[in-house]
Amino acid sequence: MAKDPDFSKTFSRRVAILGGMQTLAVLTILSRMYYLQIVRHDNFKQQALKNRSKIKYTIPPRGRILDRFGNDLAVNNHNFVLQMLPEDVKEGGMSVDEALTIIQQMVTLSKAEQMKLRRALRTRGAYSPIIIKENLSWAETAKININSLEIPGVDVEESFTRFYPGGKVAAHAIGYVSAVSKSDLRKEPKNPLFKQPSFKIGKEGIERQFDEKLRGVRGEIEQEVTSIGRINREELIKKPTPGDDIELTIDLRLQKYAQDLIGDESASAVIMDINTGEIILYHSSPGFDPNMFNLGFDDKEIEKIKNDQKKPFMNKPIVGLYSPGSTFKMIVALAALDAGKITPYKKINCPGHYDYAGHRFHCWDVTGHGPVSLVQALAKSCDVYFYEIARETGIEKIRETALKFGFEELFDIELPGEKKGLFPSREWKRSSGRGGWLHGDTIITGIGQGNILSTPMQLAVMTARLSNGGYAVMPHLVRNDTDRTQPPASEIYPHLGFSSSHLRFIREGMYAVVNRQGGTGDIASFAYRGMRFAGKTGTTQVRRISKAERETGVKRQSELPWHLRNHALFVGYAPYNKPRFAISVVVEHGMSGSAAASYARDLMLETLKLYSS
Amino acid sequence: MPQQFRPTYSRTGNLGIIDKIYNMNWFLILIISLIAAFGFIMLYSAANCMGAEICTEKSGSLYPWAMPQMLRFGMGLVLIFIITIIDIRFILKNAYVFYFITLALLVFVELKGYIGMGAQRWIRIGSFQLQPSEIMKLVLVLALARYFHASTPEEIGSTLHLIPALLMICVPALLVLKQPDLGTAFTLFAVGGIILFLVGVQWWKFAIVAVLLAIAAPLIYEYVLHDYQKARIHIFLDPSSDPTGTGYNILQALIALGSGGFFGKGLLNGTQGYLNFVPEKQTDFIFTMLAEELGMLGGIGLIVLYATVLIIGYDIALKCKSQFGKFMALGIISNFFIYFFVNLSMVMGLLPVVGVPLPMISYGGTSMLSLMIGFGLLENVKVNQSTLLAKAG
Repeated sequence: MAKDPDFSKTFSRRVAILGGMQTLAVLTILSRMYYLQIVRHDNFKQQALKNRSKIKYTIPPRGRILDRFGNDLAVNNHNFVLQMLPEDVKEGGMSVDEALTIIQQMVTLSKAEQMKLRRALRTRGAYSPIIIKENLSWAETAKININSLEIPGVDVEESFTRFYPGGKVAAHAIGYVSAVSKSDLRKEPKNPLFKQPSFKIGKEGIERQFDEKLRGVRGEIEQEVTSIGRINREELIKKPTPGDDIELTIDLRLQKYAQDLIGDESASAVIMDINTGEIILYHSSPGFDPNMFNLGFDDKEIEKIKNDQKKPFMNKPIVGLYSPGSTFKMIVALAALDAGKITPYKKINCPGHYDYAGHRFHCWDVTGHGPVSLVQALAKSCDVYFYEIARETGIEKIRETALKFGFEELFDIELPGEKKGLFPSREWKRSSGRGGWLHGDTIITGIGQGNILSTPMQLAVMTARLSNGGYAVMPHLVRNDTDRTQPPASEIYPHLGFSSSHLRFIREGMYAVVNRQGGTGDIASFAYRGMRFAGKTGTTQVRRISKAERETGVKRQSELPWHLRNHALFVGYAPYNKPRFAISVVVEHGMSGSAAASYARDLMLETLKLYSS
Repeated sequence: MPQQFRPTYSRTGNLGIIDKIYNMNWFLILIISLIAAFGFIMLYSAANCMGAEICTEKSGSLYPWAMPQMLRFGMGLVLIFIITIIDIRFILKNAYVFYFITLALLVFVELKGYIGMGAQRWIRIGSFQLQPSEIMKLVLVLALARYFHASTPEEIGSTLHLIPALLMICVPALLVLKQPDLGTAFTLFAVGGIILFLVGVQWWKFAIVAVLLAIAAPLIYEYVLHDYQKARIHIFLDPSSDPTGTGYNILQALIALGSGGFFGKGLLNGTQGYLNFVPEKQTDFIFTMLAEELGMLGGIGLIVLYATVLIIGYDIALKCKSQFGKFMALGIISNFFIYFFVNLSMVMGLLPVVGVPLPMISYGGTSMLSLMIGFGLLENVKVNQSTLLAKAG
C-alpha cells in the first residue's frame, strides 16, 4: 500500500534526486546560453553579419577614347542581355521550357545560342541567372519589355560593350579590350571586378597603357542574401565613377584616309607635328578589327591573323625594325658638316664605285654620278659621296649625331612594346663578337646600311628634328595642354646644337630629292597652294646580293617572291617653306623607295588640305 | 479476503464536473498559455517577408504558421478540460488498452506508414496526420504507472517482476528507433528509465545497464545507426569540420543564438532565421530564432516558464495520494522536461541533432496535441489527488 513507509522514503529521495538532476540540467542550459550569447556574442555577431551581407561591385562605364577633334575612337555600346532566373520562373507557375517557348516567339535564337543556353541550364548554380541572348536589338528589347510581365523571372539587363566604330582604323594606336586572363588575375588578385565575366581590360594600345585611367572606380551595392544566395534587398553604397576620357593627337579623318589608301599592304605611316610632337597619323597595316576580341571571340580567325606573313597584329610604327637605308644620308651629311669635314659646296666625284683598302663599294647607279655637291648627292642619293664623307667624319661623330636625332631612343610613346633599335658602335661590334671595327663598317654606315635598325617612328622624329630647326621634339599620342596652344618647337624642346645654316642645306637637299629633275623622289612632288613637299627615299635590301649575281645581272625585284623584295622607305616634311608636318612611310617589301614616296605624297597632300584652311 | 479486491473510493472521487473544473490548477493553464503565446509570436516572426519577391519592409505574418498553431492550442485547451473531467479510474482501468492500441498503430506505421522525411512516422487519417510515436510517450507513462501502481516494494525489488515493464519500454522504443526517430526513441527510454528510477528499482540495476550500454555503444554506433546519424554525432563533436554540409545547421544555429546577445536584435530583426540560414526555423530550431530576436532575456523568460511547469508538476505529483497519479504526473513532467532539455541542448550544440521539437513553441500538430493531452492528464491527477485507487484494476 501507499502507506508503506519504506516505499515513501525511497520515493521521496528519488524524486528529490530527479528534481536535483533536472535543476542541474537547466543550469547547464543557462550557462551555455550565457557562454554563447554573452561571452561569444561579438564573434557570432560578426559571423551573422558576414552571412547575410554581400557586396556586389558594379562595373563603371569605361572612359572613351577620342581623336584630336573629339570624334569617337572607342565607345561603350549598350548591351541588352536577356536573362532568366529559373527559380522565379517556376515560382510564377511556369516551367522553364514553357517560358523559353514564349521567349522564342519574341527573339530568335541561333543553334549556337540554344546549345549554350542548354549547357548553362545544366551547369549553373542555384539562384544564378542564365543568359538567354546577348546584344538584343532595340526591337527585341522593346518586345520583351512589353511582355515581360507575363513571364516572371525573365528580364533584360543593361550592360556595356566596348565598341570601336572605326573597325581597323587606327586599331594599333587604340588597341583593344578583352576578357581578364589568368596572368591579369595574378597581377591584381584582389580586384573583385576581375571575377565578373562581363568585365574587360585593355590588352593593347592606349586601351592597355591607360587601362587604369579608363577603367574608372567600381561602384558598390550591398546585398542582403538568403542562405541559398537569393538576393533579398539591395542598397546602393557607391555609384560607379566612369573612367576618364582620353583625347588622342591623331586625326580620325587622316586615319581613315590612310586606311583607304594603303589598304592591306604591309606598311606603316606616321605623320607628326614637328613643333609639338603630336602624332596626327598613326597607321599600321594590315589592320585588324579590335571589335573581334569583344564580340564573339573566334579563335580560328585570330589564329589565322597571327599566322599571316604580313603580321596584322604587329604595331609596325614602333615595333617594326628596319634598316634606314638612304633616309639616313641626311644624318651623315649633317655630321660631316658639323665636324667641318666638308662644305656644302665641296664636290666629290662618283665613278659608280668607291674603293677603299682593297674593297670596292658600289653606288646604286653603277654608271656613276660624276662630281656631286651635297645637295646634288642627296637629290640623286649618290652612295659614293656618302661613303667618302662618312669615312672622313668617322663613326663616333655619325653615331653621336644619329642618337641626337632619335636613333636608339625610346620616346616613351603611350603604347606598349616600343622598340629601341640599334645604332652600331665600336664597343657594340666588339662585345657582340663581330670583331674589331673596320673602315668598311663606317663606309656602309654612310648609306644607312650595316647593322642600323630603326623604327618608322624614329625616322619620323629624325625628319621632324631636321625640319624644325634642330629641336629635340618628342612624339606623343595623348593630347596635352601645350599641344592646344601650338607653340613652335623652340619654346618647348631643347636645341640639339646644330647650325641652322647646315640644317638649311640638308632641307634643301631633301627639297631637291622631290622637286628637282633627276631627284630620286620626284614621284612625291606636288604643289598645293604654293606648298611643296621635301623628303628622302630609301630602299633597303632584305637579302644580300651575291657577287655572282652582280656579275650575271641583278634579278628584277618583281621577279622575287614577296618576302625577299626590298623594303621601301620615305621620310619627308611639308610645307618646304614653313615646315609643319613630318612623315615617315615604310612599305615592307615595297621593292623601291618610290612605292613609299607615292603614299607619302598622298598622305601629306591630304594633311595639308585638312590643315591649311 | 474479498475486501482486498473491493475498490476503495474517497469522497472526491465522485466530484461533479463543476467541482473538478474549479479544482484545476489554473496557474498551470496560465503558464502554458504564456509559453504558447511565446510560440505564436515566434511563428509570426518566422513568417517575416515570406513570399515577398524583394523584402522592402519587414513584416511578420499569422500565416502559414501562427494561426494554425493558435487554433491547435485552442483545441488543445478544450482537450485539457475534457481529460480533466474524465474519471481517473477509467484511465487506470484502460491504461493497457491505450498502450496496446498505440503500439498497434506504431507497428502499423512500421509496416505501411506514410513515408515522409526519410522516416516512417505518420498515419494519415483524412487530412490529419497522426504520429503514433508521439502518443506512445504518454501511453507508456500510463501503462508503467498502472503496472507499478499495483506493485509491492518486494515486487519492485525482484528482477523478474521488472521484465514486463522493460518490455513495455523497449518494444515501442525499438520500433521507433527503427523508423528511424532517434529523438523519440531516446525519450521513450529516458521516460521509462525515470519511472523505474522513481518506483525504486535498485541503483545497481541501473549501474549494470549503464555498464552494458557503455560496452555496447561502439557496436550500436557501428551497426545500428544510419550514416546520417553517425554524421550528426561526428558533426556534434566537431561542428566546424563541415561548415557547409551537415555541420551547417548547428553552426548557423549557434551564430543565430550568439548574435542575439543579451537583449536580442528585436522582433522581426533577426537575420539568421529570416534569411533562412537557420534550417527548420519554425520547428526544431525555433529557439535559435527566439534567442536571436529576443536575446538571452527572452530565452531565460521561456526557461523560467518551463521550470514553472516542472515545479507545478512536482507539486501535483507530491500532493497526490495514489501511486498511479504520482507516477503518471512525474512521467508526464519528465516527458515534458526531456522535450525541452533535449531540444535546447541540441540547438545549443550540447547534444547531437536528433529531431525533438521545442514544447508548445515549435510548429507541429501532433506534438501540440500530445503535450496538451499530457497537461490534461496532469490536471486530472490534480483534481483527483485525494482519490484513492485500488491496487488492482
